[in-house]
Amino acid sequence: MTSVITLREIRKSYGSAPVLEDFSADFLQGEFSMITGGSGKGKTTLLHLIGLLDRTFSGSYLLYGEDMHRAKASRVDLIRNRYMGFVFQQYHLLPGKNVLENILLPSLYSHDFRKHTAMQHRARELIHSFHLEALSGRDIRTMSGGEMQRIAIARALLLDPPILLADEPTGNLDPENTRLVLECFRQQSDAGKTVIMVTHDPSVFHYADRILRL
Amino acid sequence: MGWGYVTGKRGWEMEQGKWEECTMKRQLFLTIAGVMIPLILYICCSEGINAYSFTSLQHLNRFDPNGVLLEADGEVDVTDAVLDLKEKKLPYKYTLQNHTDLVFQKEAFYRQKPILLNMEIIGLSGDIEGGTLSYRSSDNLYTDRIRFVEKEASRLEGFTECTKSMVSTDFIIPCILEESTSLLLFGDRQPPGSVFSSEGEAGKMTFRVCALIEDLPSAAENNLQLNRSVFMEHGTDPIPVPVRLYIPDCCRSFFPEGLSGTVSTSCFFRFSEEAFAEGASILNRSDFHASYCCLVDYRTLMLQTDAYLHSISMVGIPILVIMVLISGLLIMNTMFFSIQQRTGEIGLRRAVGAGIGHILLQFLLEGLFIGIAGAAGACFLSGILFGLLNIILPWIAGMGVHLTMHLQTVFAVFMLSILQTQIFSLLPAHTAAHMDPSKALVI
Repeated sequence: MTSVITLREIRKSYGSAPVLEDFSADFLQGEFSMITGGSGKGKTTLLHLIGLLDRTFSGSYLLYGEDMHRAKASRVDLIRNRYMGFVFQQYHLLPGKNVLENILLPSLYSHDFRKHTAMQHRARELIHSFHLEALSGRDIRTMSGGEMQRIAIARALLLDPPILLADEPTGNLDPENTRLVLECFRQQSDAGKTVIMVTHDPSVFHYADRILRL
Repeated sequence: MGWGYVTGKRGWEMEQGKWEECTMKRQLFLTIAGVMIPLILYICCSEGINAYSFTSLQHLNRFDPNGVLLEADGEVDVTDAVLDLKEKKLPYKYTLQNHTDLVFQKEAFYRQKPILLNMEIIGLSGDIEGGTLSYRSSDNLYTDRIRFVEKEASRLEGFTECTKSMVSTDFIIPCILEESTSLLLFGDRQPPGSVFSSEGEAGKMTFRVCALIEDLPSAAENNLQLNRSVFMEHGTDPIPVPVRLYIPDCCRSFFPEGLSGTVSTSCFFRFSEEAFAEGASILNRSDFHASYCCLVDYRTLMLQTDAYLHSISMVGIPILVIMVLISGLLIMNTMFFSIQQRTGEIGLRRAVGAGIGHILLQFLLEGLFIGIAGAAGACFLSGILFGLLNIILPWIAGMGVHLTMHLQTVFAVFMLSILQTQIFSLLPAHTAAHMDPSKALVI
């Protein structure tokens, strides 16, 4: 399998406190990786770093062979939009918008307005795939954690990114919804996406191809 | 929802999330209201009052835009001469056919047929430019304000003999008194409208005071010192006082030697440029001093009113600037508050690919919305305010002021509001755009 993300000697510190020291890893295409460790070990920091949300680090970061340390900010924004999908523990849905609008959020920054209709069609497919039709008329704030997380996952998959990054997506979910989410990630991984998930729950490790401990 | 929605008091329903939303909406409401207030002030104090007229001047404007006013002692006297003419609706032709009989024929209509009425002149007062003509037909007494033209003035010389019959007729001559004479005759009482009689060798003459002027220079050419007995209308004891009256040139020839004193010019107006010239000639007379009276035409009066309103505007501008600054700071504060509440959203948008420019544009557009909403609200409320004032002011003050709002003002209001909100949104928008997305998502 092809190495999608290559990290070498990544160092990150907050002030004088080091969070990551000489971290190196390869993330392959179609691989489901879980990052785990105790509190304060830098799991979320590492995920944000991989997702290029935080670029204040030292070391080497290659994405499909391209050095992300030297990439321009506009290039990085484009990569986040087209190549990465994020799923967060807090869901981070926009309360003033409906299900469809939340799912379509990445399309606003896709720089390709000709695909607006295609995006609408893709979003409706995802709504159907995740059984969200019944939620279309409801306020986001009235939905359960599982429902909101399904919407967040659908949003992350709108532009069909090859990389899926999830920061403790099942942290606020019940076991049933946890299973559904992880099975979804498993399916995406089997479909060829690189899935990187941060978790501190050992009970879900069996879904992953690899576990990285910090 | 109630007042708690605006004040955000804790007595109102509260989960934490709804409380924050309430505070945000309250902040936004106050911001838009804060933007509207200076804009309303701008509309009212600057070019908001663009069209106005006063009740009295409306009459002038109706008949002649070149209306002329003669101010004496600072009081504006607006004649209703033209109204009289309009009221009578009759054409006047003064044809002096037989000046020895002091009769003229006046064209009139009786049952829609033109007729000529014989009129006897019983009184004439004024100056070389014109004055008041009193005449009668049978028992009907008329008084017209007239203007003399040069060719007719020469005919007046033949009235010398007729003057004798004039002075014997009992009629009331309108006059203007000097202040010192008024003080002698009437004391502290306001004389306009009062009547007094002057008795002398030529008989009794009755005058009605229509205005006062400051004392004319003693060296005035046509000013005669009279030694006449004066008594008031209601028959008080005669008061032998020197009566100082102003005698216009044309009236001197009406009186025989030894009889001195008659009325001065009355305040008359003709609403035309000739009238302005007539008034100017009064000012140019040797016995008139510019400081005693002033001549104001309609346009000048409107310019003076313009200047007055402009001065009001100038006072309002510093207040407007201060209010714009305060409302701008309110906008900035609201935007910062909004950013604080939406940190997660900002991080999310960066995570899905939004660049710095996208976030910057988003918050600038939100500021633009606040500006447009504030401007629209200000224009709407100002329109209502002007409508109410246009109804109330004539009723309360008897003043027909008409307030309007021009499209240029509306346009300026929107531009000012948009400019203000964009300027004061820049810093918050910049802060949001350059926020660290990883930290924003964690908060």
